[in-house]
Amino acid sequence: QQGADENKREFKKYESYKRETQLPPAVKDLRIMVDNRSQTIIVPISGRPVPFHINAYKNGSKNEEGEYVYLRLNFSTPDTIVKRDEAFENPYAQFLKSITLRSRDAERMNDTFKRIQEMKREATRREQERKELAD
Amino acid sequence: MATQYDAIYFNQSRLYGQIRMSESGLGWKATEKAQGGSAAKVSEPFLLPAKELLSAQWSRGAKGYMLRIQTKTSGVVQLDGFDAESFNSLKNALSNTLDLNLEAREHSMRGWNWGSTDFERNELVFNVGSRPDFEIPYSAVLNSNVVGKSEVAIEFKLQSASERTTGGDEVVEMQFYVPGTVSKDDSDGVKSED
Repeated sequence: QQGADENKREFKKYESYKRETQLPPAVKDLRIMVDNRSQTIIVPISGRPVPFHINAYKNGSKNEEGEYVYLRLNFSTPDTIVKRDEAFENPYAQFLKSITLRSRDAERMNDTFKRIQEMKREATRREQERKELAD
Repeated sequence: MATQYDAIYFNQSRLYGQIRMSESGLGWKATEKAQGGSAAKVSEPFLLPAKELLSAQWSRGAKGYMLRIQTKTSGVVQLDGFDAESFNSLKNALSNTLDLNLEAREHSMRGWNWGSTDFERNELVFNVGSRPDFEIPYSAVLNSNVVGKSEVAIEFKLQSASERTTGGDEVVEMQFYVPGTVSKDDSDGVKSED
């Protein structure tokens, strides 16, 4: 019971940026990147930098295939959120569940994936501390 | 009278170019020289006749601000790299030379992964709250599949490294969680759209 609950994430209000002008200048390269200051992963989708807050990120995986490195990011969906009614005003909300990107720049992809995992660990640790303080 | 803008990227091209517009339409051609040793291709010059134009939107892009033009039969055209200050001059130019209204659109910066999808003429738009979050032009899609009870996968077209005209990381696949695709009276459990 307890274990199953721990695997699920409660929904909290969060926001990556207030304004588009707050996006870091490096988004111009159209590469997946990590912005620690805003706890956000920025993913290039059809030429647009799209932020995803670390709270929306569930886990990911990395694969090397030929000359490419593939990064798959999995996001929280209703099956991973407790109290799902709070997650959205609209129960018919649709979710981006995962996105896979590829690049031939293995070193950068490895480093980006490491930074995403570190940011997630850090966010989970802080959340745990917050819960313990609240008890 | 022709109006032009420099250092503009066409549909995520690696190299920037110049756009020119006149009463007859809008064109783009690469002006940046490819770096020596790079095997990737240079984008072909592009011409859009005035009669193809449907609407124009202005939003934050990657290189700067982006002009997106919805066309009748050529999908959506993305021109990225404008300065924020160019909005008024571009709006006037589009209005005067091509009778096209430039509409400013602010995208969601919340970082949420849930919202709603709209199937528009040339692209799928994912909205978060009342704002667009990202777009997927149909021309970028290779295939789509129903992969689970409530899941849809979209595979993207990919370019081989030597044929690539675009820059940056490539999106390979996306999966969406779509509630409501399961209906009780459908024995397969999946409702097909087509």
